[in-house]
Amino acid sequence: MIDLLRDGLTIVLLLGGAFFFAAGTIGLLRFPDVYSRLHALTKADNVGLGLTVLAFLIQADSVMQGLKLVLVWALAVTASATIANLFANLAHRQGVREWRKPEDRP
Amino acid sequence: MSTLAMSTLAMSPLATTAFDGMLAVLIAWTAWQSVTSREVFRAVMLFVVFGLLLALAWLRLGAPDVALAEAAVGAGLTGVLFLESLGHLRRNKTVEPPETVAQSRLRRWAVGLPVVVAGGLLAMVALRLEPRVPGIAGLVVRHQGETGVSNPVTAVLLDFRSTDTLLEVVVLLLAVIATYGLVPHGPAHHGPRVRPPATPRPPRQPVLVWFVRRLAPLALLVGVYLWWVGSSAPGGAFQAAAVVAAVFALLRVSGMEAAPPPNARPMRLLMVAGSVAFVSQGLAMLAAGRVFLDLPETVAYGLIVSLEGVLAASLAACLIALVAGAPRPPRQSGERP
Repeated sequence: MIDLLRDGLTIVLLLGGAFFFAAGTIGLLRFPDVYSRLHALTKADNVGLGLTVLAFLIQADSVMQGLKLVLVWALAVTASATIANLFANLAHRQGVREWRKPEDRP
Repeated sequence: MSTLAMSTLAMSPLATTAFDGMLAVLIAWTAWQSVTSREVFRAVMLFVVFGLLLALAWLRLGAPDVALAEAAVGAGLTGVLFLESLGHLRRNKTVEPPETVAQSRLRRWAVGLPVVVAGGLLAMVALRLEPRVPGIAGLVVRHQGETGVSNPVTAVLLDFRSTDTLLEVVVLLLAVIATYGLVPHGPAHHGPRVRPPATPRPPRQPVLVWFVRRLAPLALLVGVYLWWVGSSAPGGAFQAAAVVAAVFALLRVSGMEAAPPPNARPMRLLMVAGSVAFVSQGLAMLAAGRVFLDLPETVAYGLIVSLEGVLAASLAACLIALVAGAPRPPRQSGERP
C-alpha cells in the first residue's frame, strides 16, 4: 500500500516536472525578448528539476543517495540563477530594451 | 550512475530504442549544425551540446569512464578553449581581404575531402566488424588482480596499456609547448607589430563572484575525489585534471584569477612533472630487470594511485596553461607601457 502510494506520488511529481520543462522550453522558443526567455528557462531549471528531484527523493534507498539528489538540484539552481543573471546583465549593459505590448510602447 | 540505479530505471525495450534513436539523430544534427553554422559563437555552443549528447551516448553504451572524459574534456574544456579563441579573435580584429569564391571553394574541398574519405573508411571498418568477437575484456578481468585496482579501465590505462596513456600525457605537454611557441619574441620578430587596444575589463559580477566562491572549493573537492575514486570506479587523472582546470577557468571569467600565473616557473615544473614521473617509473622497472612500464604485482596499486595523483596535478597545470593561452609577449625596449 505504502509502495503504491509512493509510486503514485512519484509519477505525479514527474509529470509535474515534465510540465514545467515543457512550459519552459515553449517559453524559451516563443517569448519575445531575452529577459522573458530567461524567466521561462529558469522556471524549467528551478521548478521542473525541483519536482523531478523530489520524485526521485521519495524513492531514494539511503540518506546518502537522497543528499546527492538534493546537491544536484542545489548546484543546478544556483548555476542557472547565476547564468540568468549574467545574461540579463549583459543584455542590459548592451542596451537591450525589455519587450512591451504594442499599446504600451511610447 | 550505479548499476543499481540503472536497473531500477530500466525502461521498456521500445522506450529504450526510441530514446537511443532520438539521441543518435540529435548527435548527428548538432554535429551538422555546428559545422555548417555561419555564426562562430553558435557553432561553439552547438559543439558543446554535441559533446554532452555524445557523453550521454557513451553512458547508454555502458562506458561511464568514456562518458566522464567526453563531458569534462570533450565538451567542457574544449568548449572553453573555443570560447577563449573566439574572444581573442573578437578583441584582435585583423582586417583581411574577403575570401574569393575560388579560395572559399578550395578551402571547403581541402577540409571536406579528407573528412569524407576518413568517414568512409571508418564506416567500412565498422560494417566489417564481427559482432560477437570476445575482445580483450575477459583477458583484462582475468589479470586485473595483478594490478591491485578494481576499476578495469584504470587497470588498462595505467598498467596493461600504459604506453598509450604516457603518450597522451606527453601530447598534452607538447600542446602547451606549441602554444607558448606562438608568442612572438626575440630578435626574429622585429616586424611592425600592432598592439591590440587595451580592452576595458568588464565590471565584476557580484552574483557570479558569490557563486564561484562557493562552487570552486566544492569543484576542487570533486577533482580530488575523481583522482582517488579512479582505482575502483569511473574517474582518474584526466577527469580530475579537467575539473580542476574548469575551476581555474571559472575563477578567470569571474575576475578572481589565482596566483601564481599559469606560466610561472613552479607551474611549468608541474607541467613537466607528469611526463617525467611516468617515464622514470617505466625506467625504474627497466632497471629492476622488468619490461618498460611493467609494474610488479606487489606494489602496483601504490604506484598506480600515486602516479595518477602526480598526473592529475600535472595535467591540470597543462590544461590551465592552455585555457590561459600563450603568455603576453615581453615588451620591447623603448615601447611605452
